[in-house]
Amino acid sequence: MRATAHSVTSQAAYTVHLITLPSGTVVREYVAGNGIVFGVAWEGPTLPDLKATLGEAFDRYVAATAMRRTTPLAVSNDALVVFSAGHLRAFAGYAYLPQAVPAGVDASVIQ
Amino acid sequence: MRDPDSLLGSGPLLKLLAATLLAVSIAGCGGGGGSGGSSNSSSATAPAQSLTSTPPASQLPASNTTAVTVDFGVIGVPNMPFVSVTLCVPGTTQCQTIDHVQVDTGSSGLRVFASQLPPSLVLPRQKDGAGNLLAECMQFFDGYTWGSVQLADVLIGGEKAASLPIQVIDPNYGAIPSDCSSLGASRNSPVSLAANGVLGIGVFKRDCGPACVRSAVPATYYGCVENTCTSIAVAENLQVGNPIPYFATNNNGSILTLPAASPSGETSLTGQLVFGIGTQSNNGLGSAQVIGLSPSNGTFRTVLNGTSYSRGIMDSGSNGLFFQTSALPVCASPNDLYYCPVSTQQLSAMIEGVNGTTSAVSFAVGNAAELKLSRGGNSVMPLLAGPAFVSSTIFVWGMPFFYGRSVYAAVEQQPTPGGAGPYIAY
Repeated sequence: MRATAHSVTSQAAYTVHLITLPSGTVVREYVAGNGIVFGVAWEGPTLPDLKATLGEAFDRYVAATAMRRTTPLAVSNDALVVFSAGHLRAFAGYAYLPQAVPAGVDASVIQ
Repeated sequence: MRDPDSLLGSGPLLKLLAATLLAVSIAGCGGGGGSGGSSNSSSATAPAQSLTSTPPASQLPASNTTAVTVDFGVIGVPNMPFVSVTLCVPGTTQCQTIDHVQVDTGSSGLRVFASQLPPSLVLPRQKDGAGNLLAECMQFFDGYTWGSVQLADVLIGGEKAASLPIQVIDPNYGAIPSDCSSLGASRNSPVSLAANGVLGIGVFKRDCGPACVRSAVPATYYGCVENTCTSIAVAENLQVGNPIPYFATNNNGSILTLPAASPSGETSLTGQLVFGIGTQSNNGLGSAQVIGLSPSNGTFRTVLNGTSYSRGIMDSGSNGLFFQTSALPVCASPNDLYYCPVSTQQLSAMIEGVNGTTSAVSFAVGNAAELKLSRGGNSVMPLLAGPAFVSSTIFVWGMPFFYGRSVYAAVEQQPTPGGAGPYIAY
């Protein structure tokens, strides 16, 4: 993801990469000890590159939202959860892979 | 997420869907200069459009209003408000009227489909100072639209925005840049958008605004040469524009007025979109409370049960009220987009404008699963609410807020009797 700033904070079971996009949107990537990105959260004027972050799960996100429903919850199952809301200039959302969240970590840290 | 081994088997891809969407039939249209009365139906899922030779605006009824309907629309998403919009080649009477264009107070700018314009309606392409042909990836929270930026006279009710930059959505225009398609699902057909277009009448004059002037922001504006489009910065006056501030009159804002709806739902209803605030006898501010919005992002604060949501949004483009609370149970799948209290709950929130205005708002949340099961055919569902985020920043005041109200949206920098925009009032 193209960034204008990038910092890293380590917790016991995961690392948070704080990335600022050219638009000013702040993206937090949650990386487990095994290197897997298990979650991402964003807030700011534009949306992040979710394909780069979600990898193969991106296709499932797109498939789950093939028809517009105009609701923030895009998909929620045991493999993928995505919330996305707001409008250009004020977006916020998060996505995570429940099965990739490290043991002992609550998914609510992703925000 | 970057490790393929962590994933389950690949889900169904969207390529099949994309192919299906392309099959949405293209209206077979005659010349734009032909006599009115020729009509065509584009497909079972896209409502009929009329191809007309529209008289110049001066011959239309002098009116600052147009009808808004909430009905089945294109695919039956509940709580979507629609209007008809007419596009003309600038300065001519070659026009096309498009029905079921979604009214969206959460965005700015008009977006229609290339597939719903007759080949004879050739609109000028928008170019920047360097001669680049402009294209846009428009970001919505639930997907993106892609297409070129073109100039049209936009007629709504009796108002006209002359030679306004609009987005003509077309998945076949050039090659969709990868940073655009990496945002999420495409909304490049009427079926996937659930509408024949979007009429963004939010508080901003242009969709992206200053951020896209300062630098080339990925997945926003592009300059295109043949099939290759490259991210570029674009001056604000060249960006896709909200028609309202570019009307000759009644150009400082709008009022979306919808009747109250039965709590159990209705099959459809009709209201009005009124242009101007305090410019005519039919658009006075009256006793409406003026809620100032952030001039940079259009949000305001909402407080509910002691929780503060910093990003309140007034959005006719969302079909429910969306906020995170532990006070309401989320419905079981597949209705988990919404809340399912055992009985209808009455709640009260405080809306706080950046101008210091505070306003108490009472609202009701029903059991979405019961409402949908027992009233499955209803397009009007005033008790829909659902979850948003654990981080508690978002409070979306979607369509249920608009029923039974007149909601004003004052455009940035435009003077009104309630002060200059951006503000909302109700």
